[in-house]
Amino acid sequence: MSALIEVDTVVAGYGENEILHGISLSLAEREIVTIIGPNGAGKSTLLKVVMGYLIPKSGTVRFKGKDVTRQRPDQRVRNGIAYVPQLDNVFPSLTVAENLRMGGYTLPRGRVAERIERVYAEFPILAERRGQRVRTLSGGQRQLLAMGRALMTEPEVLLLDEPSAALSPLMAGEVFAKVAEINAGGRAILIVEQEAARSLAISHRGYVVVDGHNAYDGPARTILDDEKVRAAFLGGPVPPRRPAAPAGDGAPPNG
Amino acid sequence: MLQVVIDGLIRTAELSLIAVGLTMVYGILRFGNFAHVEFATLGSFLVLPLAALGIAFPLAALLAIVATGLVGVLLDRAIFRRLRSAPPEMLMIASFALGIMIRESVRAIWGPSPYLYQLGVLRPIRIGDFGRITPIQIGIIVAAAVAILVFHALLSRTRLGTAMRATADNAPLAQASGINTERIIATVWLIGAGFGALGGVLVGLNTQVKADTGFALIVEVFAATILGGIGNPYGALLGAAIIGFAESISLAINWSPLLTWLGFEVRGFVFIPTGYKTAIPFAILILTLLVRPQGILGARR
Repeated sequence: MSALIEVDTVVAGYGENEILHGISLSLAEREIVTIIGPNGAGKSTLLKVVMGYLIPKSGTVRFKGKDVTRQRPDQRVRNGIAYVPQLDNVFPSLTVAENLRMGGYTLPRGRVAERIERVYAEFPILAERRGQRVRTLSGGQRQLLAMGRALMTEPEVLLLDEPSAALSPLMAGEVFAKVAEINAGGRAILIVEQEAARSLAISHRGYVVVDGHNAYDGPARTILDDEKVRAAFLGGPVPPRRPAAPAGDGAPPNG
Repeated sequence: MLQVVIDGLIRTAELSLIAVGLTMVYGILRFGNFAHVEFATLGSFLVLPLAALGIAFPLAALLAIVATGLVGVLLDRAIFRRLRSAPPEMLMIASFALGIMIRESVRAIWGPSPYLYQLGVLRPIRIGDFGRITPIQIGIIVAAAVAILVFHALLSRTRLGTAMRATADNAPLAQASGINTERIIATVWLIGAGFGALGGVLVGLNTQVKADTGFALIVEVFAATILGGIGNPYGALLGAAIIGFAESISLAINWSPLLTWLGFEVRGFVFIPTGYKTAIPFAILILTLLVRPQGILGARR
């Protein structure tokens, strides 16, 4: 299977503060992959590297086989990647319609109106609120708008940073159902989540990231069912670490 | 009475054009650019050599405005772009130094004495018994109104304008939408510095062309920007109108009844001397910062 996105031993961070110490990951066509791991493990940083907000110190990011490591985010959007940040993922002083129009900034002018109608069809609540400023929307509606904005370009890959953060369980369920629906339409999706169980439930594969290293990866089902992974990463006390799955980065000293 | 309105309108015209650029740059780059008012000075002076070449005044003014806008873009590239991730204090200090450089360069090139635009003598138009207005003053008000309307149309109706607002709202997300934010920043400098230049030309038309035209307005312009809500272009227009009219009205008012009422002993009329004009925006600025620091149209952060 050809990989859409390949992250190869990326080392990255902010200034002196190195957060990712040689991390790798791949995302195939039509796949949903969830990245889980404790707070501060570097999950969001990893997503920023994939989107191009952060240029890695070493390692590469490939998109459809092409090296995009040094491309700017707006260039990656044109190539078919879309990104929904965790916070501040809408333009608050713009209307719902203007937010979507900005999502379609890279589209040829004639196609924007047609795409907006498609997004409205997919998210009826947005159609109702089209003239409203985003400031007046609820958290859940904003999250749907954020996804609608990202879908304007019909991206091949959608990157979601904690889509359920700060949402009620009911609303989070609605968001994940929408994510599964978007994936069924043929888009690959890479999710970073704290709320790991719900996200893994709709995913094909999962990665566990700890301290900026790959700690574990495998089918989402396995991660959900594996007692040790469950205990370590999905809540519960962290057991003393046994020599784990073969890791390419040397054994981390702590547990 | 009419004279107060005309003076207020002219002041509003000058201030709003300069304040709009200051507030837009703040909206996107989040720092108060102290050098901004110098674009007014630079623009007003660049008209001189062009007019000396025999170019008609309106065209010379337009060329000077465009040239100043380009200077704004170049200065951003040369200085502020290198400081994008620096703290805002550093940007402010850099802008302060840049302001001195522009101001003193203008003084070095054109000398310390003021210039006048050579437009010939135009007869003022009397409006009844209430006051008079010169064709130049009409031109100032009309030019500013047209510029503001064009700017409003750009901001609210065009793709570029929406992208400018989106970038000011959330630059990383604008980038995630495929907007080349550096290009938007360049556009904001072009328009902001150009509008500042137009404001300076209008000041030159109304009074003189001087090396400290911009610097003399720094309190008014910052007060208008902060009063309206820094970062919001419409707030800058509102703030400029309030400051402009506050100045013209308080200079025209006879303050003796108020002072008498307050218990002071005054004889005859009491007017605020023109030299103290700057005290008015200063007072408004301090009051704003005390009562509503985010400004009238500013969102709470």
